[in-house]
Amino acid sequence: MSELVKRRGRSSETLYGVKIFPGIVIGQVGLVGGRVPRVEHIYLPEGAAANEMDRFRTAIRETENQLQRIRSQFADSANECAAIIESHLILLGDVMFQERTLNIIDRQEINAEWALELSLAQVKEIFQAIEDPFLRERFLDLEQVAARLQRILAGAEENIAAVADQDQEEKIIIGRDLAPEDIVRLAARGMAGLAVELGSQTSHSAIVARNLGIPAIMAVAGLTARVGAGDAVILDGYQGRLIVNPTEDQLQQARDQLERARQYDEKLAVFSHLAPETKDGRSVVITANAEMPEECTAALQYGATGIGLFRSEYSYMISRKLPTEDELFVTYRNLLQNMAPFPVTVRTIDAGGDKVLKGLGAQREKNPALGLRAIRLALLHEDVLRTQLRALFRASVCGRLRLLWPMISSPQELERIDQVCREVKGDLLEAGIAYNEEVETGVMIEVPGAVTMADVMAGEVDFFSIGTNDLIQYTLAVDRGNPAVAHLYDPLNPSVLRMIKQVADSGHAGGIEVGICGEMAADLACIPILLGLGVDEFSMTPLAIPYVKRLVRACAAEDLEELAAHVLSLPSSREVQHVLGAFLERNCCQAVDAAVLDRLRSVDAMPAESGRQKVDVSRAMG
Amino acid sequence: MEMVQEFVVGNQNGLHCRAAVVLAEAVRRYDARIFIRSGDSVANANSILDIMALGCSRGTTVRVSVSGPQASEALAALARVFAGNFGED
Repeated sequence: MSELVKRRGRSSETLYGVKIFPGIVIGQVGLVGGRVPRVEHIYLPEGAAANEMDRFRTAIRETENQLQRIRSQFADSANECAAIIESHLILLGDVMFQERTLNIIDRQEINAEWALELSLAQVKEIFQAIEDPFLRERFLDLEQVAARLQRILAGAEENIAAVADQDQEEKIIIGRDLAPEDIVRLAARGMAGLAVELGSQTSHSAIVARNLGIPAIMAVAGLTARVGAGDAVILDGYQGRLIVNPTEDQLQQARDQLERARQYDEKLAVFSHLAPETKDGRSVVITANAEMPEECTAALQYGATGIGLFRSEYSYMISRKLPTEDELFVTYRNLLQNMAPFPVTVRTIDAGGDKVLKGLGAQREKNPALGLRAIRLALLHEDVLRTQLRALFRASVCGRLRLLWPMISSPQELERIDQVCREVKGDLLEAGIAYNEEVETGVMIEVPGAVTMADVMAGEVDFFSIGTNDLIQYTLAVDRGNPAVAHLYDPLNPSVLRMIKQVADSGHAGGIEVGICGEMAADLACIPILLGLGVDEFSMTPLAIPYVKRLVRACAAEDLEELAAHVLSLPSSREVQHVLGAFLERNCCQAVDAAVLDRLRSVDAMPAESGRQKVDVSRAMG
Repeated sequence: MEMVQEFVVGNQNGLHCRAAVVLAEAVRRYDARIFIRSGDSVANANSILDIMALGCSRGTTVRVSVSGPQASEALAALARVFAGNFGED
């Protein structure tokens, strides 16, 4: 049976990795790149060492020329890609590495390839003893330089050109490890997506892929063993996965996502950079949710004027060990610098419940939603919280930082956290470390207890941010993950809307701004009511921003207030949806997806309180 | 004559590639032999790899020994790059 037939018969398989750059590519594996040729071990005939050493020196010069050529594609020497290639040139030129290899050729009278392999192994041993993961990872760069040298010695370097010569399909490149230079070259030859077995968020290859905007995933375990050239794949850079031999359903889903993205590009791009202002001139703030500093690029591209919710858990999930203060500082500094001059709201570590972090060793609980989570867990592990706060305050001089306390359920908790903050700032002051005294703090309102005490807390903080996902769960006592009751989870339930009104009114009476950062903030059906209730800021996935701006600009504040007042007087979600559907159709039909209107219209045909289909643009866009 | 002085690595990312380059470049033009010791490991200051292989993260104390005709000039140059955090933070 031929290889091809065998592959065709294989069932669909999904491999997961680390997200490097978002995007979806449907295509074919074009090349397994970055392979090191098999190194032959040869003892040289007597007196041949001098020639072999020359051969090695020539290969170094050739490698150097090649890297110089690739670097010259970047006119700006400050470009991050150029700087990375420059660092590889420096490694290549390293005296010790060259001399080590030349010495081995000379003394052991073996071929250059073998000597290179040996000297790399020696250096590897030294590097493996390094404790700092950032420094240890730099060995990957030397390995990539050595692999290039090996290919040049073997005369096997130019296979990379083959990628563009195959048929029409989109080429997804996979490899055990791909050097930054190879990524630059492959991108110039039509690489549409990239999946790599090694690598990490912080590897130079990842930085280059992001810089070039190539949808990519890395650290995909088992990749090269399970995927070969010619395999049909879907690369999903949003979810960090590679689907091999996709089913017809999976292909259709991916095509739909691509089509929506294309439509977005055509019709919506224009809205990204228009002000989020109603027809009669009421402005709101639209910000983005993010998890990594790199996401600021997308946030700015889609027109966000800040990060409204930075989920800080990512730093705690990537490693078994807790992140150090310095590691956190680098993340927060980059985040604030990337977003400056706009504000960034960082939610302090929100673990427990459904997000169990290895480093905190949280216990499995009978009822995690009502258990030891978020600020409760953080205050129990106060050292972890203090480390995070120190890193945050140190970074606060690099941009506009705002701090958000998750799941506050009483003013007492707020007092406690304020105390911790004062102590952390006191320590910094004593150590002579600069921080910004103007860092604003806010409470995440996601527990009904916090809603009823909002008027008291408004005097203690600078802003409120309503986390609607949890607020809805707690208000209606519904676990969204339980299929028997999930249909009762309903953002348009009047009790939820009244909660939001109470928070907005309490916040405004206390002179502070009120934002929304749950999924509701991007739900086109909910936004008119939220605007009418006076919500000041909406934080959402960047892709949803132009949709939301288009809707805001189609409405008049006066009508929205009337709408909000009307729906608050209604007894059920069913009636709210009915009124809302009529309002949208009358006022801003053009600015709302047909799917949203269909959904609201369909309530009349549905039995009361039946499942409400959510049309979430963020989900739809992937 | 050999001169010895201790320095603390003060930049955020430690002696990684770029910082190692700055260090090596700073002393290249002097006629001096320079060794950097951290714990049990020793690096020749003219090799970026050697310096990186020391694995010095922020806060590490290194012991630098310099000898040769231009030892004092080289040591002064080293002091400048350490004090300036290799031009980084």
